[in-house]
Amino acid sequence: MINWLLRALAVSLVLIVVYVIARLIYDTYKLFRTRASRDDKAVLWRDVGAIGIAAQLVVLGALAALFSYLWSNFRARTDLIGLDLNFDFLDQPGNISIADNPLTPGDSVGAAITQGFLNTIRVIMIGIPLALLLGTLVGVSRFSSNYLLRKIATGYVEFFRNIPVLVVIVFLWGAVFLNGFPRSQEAWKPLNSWFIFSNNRFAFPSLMGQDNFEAYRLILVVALFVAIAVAVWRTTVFNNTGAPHHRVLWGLGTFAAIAAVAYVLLGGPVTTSKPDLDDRGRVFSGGIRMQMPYAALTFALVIYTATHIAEIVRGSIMAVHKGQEEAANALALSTFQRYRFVILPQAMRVAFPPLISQFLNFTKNSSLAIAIGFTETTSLIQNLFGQSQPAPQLILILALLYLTLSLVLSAFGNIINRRLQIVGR
Amino acid sequence: MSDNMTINADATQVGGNGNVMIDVTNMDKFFGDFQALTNINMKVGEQEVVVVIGPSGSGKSTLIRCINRLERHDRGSIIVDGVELSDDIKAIQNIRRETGMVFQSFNLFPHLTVLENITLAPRNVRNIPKAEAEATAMELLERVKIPDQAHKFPGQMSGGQQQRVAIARSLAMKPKVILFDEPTSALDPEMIKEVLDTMKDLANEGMTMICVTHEMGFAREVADRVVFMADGEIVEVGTPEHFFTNPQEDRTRLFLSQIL
Amino acid sequence: MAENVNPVVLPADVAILAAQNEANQAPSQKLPPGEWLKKNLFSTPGNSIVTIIVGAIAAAALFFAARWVIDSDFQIVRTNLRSFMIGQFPRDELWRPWASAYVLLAGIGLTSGALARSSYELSVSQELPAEKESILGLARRFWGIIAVMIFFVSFARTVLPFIGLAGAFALVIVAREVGWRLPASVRRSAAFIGASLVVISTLVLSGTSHLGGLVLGLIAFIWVLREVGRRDLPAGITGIAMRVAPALLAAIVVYVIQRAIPHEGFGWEDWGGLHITLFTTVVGITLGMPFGILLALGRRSDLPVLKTVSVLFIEFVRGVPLISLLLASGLLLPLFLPVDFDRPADLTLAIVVIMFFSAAYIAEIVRGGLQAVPKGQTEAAQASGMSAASVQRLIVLPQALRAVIPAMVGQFIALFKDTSLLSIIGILEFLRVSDTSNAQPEFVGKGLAGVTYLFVALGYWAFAYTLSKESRRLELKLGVGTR
Repeated sequence: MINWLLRALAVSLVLIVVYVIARLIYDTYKLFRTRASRDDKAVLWRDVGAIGIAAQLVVLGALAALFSYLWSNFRARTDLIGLDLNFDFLDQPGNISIADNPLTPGDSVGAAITQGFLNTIRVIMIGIPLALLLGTLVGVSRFSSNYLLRKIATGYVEFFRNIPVLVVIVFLWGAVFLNGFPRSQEAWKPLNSWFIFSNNRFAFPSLMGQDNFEAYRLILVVALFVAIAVAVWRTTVFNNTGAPHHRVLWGLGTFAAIAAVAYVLLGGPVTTSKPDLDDRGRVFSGGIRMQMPYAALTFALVIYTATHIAEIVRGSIMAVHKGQEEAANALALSTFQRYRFVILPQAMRVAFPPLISQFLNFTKNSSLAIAIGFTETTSLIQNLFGQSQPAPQLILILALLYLTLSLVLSAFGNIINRRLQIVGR
Repeated sequence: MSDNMTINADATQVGGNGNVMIDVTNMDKFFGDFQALTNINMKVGEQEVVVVIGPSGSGKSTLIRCINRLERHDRGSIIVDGVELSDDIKAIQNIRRETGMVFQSFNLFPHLTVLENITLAPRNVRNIPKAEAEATAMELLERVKIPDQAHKFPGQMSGGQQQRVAIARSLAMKPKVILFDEPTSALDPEMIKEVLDTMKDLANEGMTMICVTHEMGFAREVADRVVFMADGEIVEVGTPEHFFTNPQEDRTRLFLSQIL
Repeated sequence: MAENVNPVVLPADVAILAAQNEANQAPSQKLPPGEWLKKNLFSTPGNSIVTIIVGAIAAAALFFAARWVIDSDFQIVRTNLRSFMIGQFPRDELWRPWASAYVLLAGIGLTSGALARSSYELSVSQELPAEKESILGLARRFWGIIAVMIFFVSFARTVLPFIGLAGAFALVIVAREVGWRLPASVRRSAAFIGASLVVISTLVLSGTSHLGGLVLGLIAFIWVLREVGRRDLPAGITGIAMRVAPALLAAIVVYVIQRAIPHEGFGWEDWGGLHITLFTTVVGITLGMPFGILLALGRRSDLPVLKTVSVLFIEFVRGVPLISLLLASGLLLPLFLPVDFDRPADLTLAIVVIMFFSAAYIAEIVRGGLQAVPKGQTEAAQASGMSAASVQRLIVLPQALRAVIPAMVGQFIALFKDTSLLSIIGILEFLRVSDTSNAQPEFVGKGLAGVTYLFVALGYWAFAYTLSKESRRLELKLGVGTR
């Protein structure tokens, strides 16, 4: 993957340079074409077009000089310390192992970086939805008629929004998780040890497939389709007769009913898996386990980002014009209908672009795992620095990985945003 | 039209066909410490057209916004079609269902098409089938003379067209009374006529209407009664002829001399 | 590169609309306690349940937090208070940080007083309601910083810091009064006076004139240019004298200051704590500003070379995390220096990177401001025969920059918080002092990280909270978004 990205980078840089030079040549050609066809042409050094081209040539020349100067310094220094400027080290053994990860020290540097990158993705895949959920709840809470809820939401936002995210991370890690939870030998096991909390791992119960699990999974997929069909049917009924559709309730009900019947008929194809900890407090088995640094990083980022999302949610709802609410009221829409059909669709449009930039911030902030030793992209690459792997190439790769993530996220966001904004224009 | 109506500050005589549609008694309204409306007494009959005029800040918009509970009145009672307006959400929704409103700034929903704007409330509040709601909407759009705009978004239309959509939207709920809150104040001069024409048609079809407006021509031509308000009070009430030719109160005369 | 890949929505816009709508809401009435409780906490069964659940959770959290704070031993903060504030600054030169802070506060007080007076005069001339802000009003605006500073000083082991802090408060108030009373002609140069005082404060602290003299010279130079360019001077000898005098004066002042401080000085390697956090933020924004404005203009340019270069730079810097750039500052940046060049201090390298970093973000903010300037402004300026550069410099940029002041304050806050990342690359700033304190033999392994982190968090919070409130105030005052 990394080699592929590097190649893409090289190609796009070449393309950009070619584009710029081609544009310059084309503009110059066009300039002289126009000048040739006109009798009242200005003196060349006072021609608006010529000045533009000259200015660009100067900038280009200055940049080229600067880069060649920096590059010669760079080559001189790398030669001095004997640094190879190639990417062969990616295939060498990395001597890296990551907690809860199949990576072995014998695996290549490239494989290690890939695993680190996957850990970054794990943080953002769990963290962003959680932050969105918490942020929306808090943002909406600030409109609550309940004084206590409103004030607590405000206090939460105003406190956590105004301290650095790094402080939230190290506080949660150093003060709450490491010192607030018992060592794994004395792990805290609430609810009849269905949950295990220690300052090493969190463990939660999970589901485990038994006999007939494959069949059950298939039935669940079918049930999903049936549920969708029922929801569509309810919508048709609503369109035809005007009777309230309750399609979500109907859909969920159908799904639950099929799932329950199939569960009984297949003789319990799924059981719960209870997490367990051996006597010495070392080996976990069963359930879902969560590494401490992972939990600390994800929760801290969620706590911090949610405050920003809450502000966006609050602002975007308030940004919907007051007349819209009045018009909805005058049409006798209920509170739910008012939000569902009038306020939220409009608020979402205002909120979406800043939300995307918060998601990007979340992604970039996940690199602060470096401070608490959760081995994601940045922290893993820092480990590699420590093993005297070549820094320039690694930094290039580091930047490239985050650039890719940012590009993918913002491209995705832009597609949705365009769909949102296009309506009503 | 009842020509025998005298000119006085009593707005409680019922016009129209004699059945009371709206009954406001001893109503007061405050904004903080500021008293916006003082002791309002007014009755509106079925099929009657009442035009409310007055200088800005006189409380006329507040008065009609109290009738469908966009503002909460502080004292007195408001009865719309036999239902008393209280804090009871059921009563409020019942009254709003029977009361259409047209705003100065249109307040169409910008993210919905014209057709969706019109059918939203009938489908979700009145539970009317989609096809039927859309057919009604198309009829209404014919009536306000913009049937070809059904699938446009409000932002793509002129102000006059938007306001006519807003009228169609409130008509779609088949209301018993429509409140107009300065419907032409935000419009360019050339668009005012198309909206006023639509309103005239409505009046001729026997719709009960309360219009807050600055269009004196409209008041003269269409109104059954003109209510003049100033400083949160009803100052003078009368038929248009009497009102415009022979106003009794100084404040009315001053106002009319300023605008005519 | 398409122009609108990232639609720029200034968060300020959203906040403004919100604030305006908020202002429209009717004021709530005073109710007796019983009714107030019923209306605000127990109006419906659902509401009561929310109150009970949320109240229980909040009470529990408050209880645990309070118990933890009471049980905690704050000795570690007491021992390291000085380090938290100024890091490893030589202990026998403590007068320097104090004097430096006093000069800085005098500058802030003077400038803010002068600016407040100017805006007051403007309001009066437009017959708008205007009032001089009382000390109580100021205290309410800056209560966060004041409270946290008092809290910090309460950890001091001697009474001296108390006196110092009280003196600082008094100084700000007095300087503000002086600024308020300055004659109008001097007030117009308040920004220059303020900037000079900031630089002088740095000079006092460092005791050297390396960079400070240069910056001071630059400020003096700009001031001189302005004075020379004045059109309202009389002709003849007097006029020439009035043009030359400021230049001479500036030269003499800079020379005297350069000479007066022959000391080797305390470079950045001696600085630390909260001071370096604030310093890095101010320097990062100040240096990043001109570069950011150029980038914004470049991105809006029609010339493909300028546009491509600007877009590439901005999108690259905004697409990667700051920490990766800071890692590069230590590992990559020195490799680009000539071979015979000594490796600069870590902080120098970091500040270079932070400058580029904030430039990219400032560029996007300024671009938003530029887009908000109506096209008619440019057209009107062109129609009156101005050159392209003059149009930008005199018409478009001033309007754009004014509109983005609140967003700039937001960027300042963001950078202020982001400087905490310097701790990761080993610079002894505010947050890192907490780690070094916990590594001291008497505190190591005692689990006191929470105590010091809490202390640090409060420090960051005080500044960020106050500034963000100020930026909201500015937004409303400037009427950004009402356009």
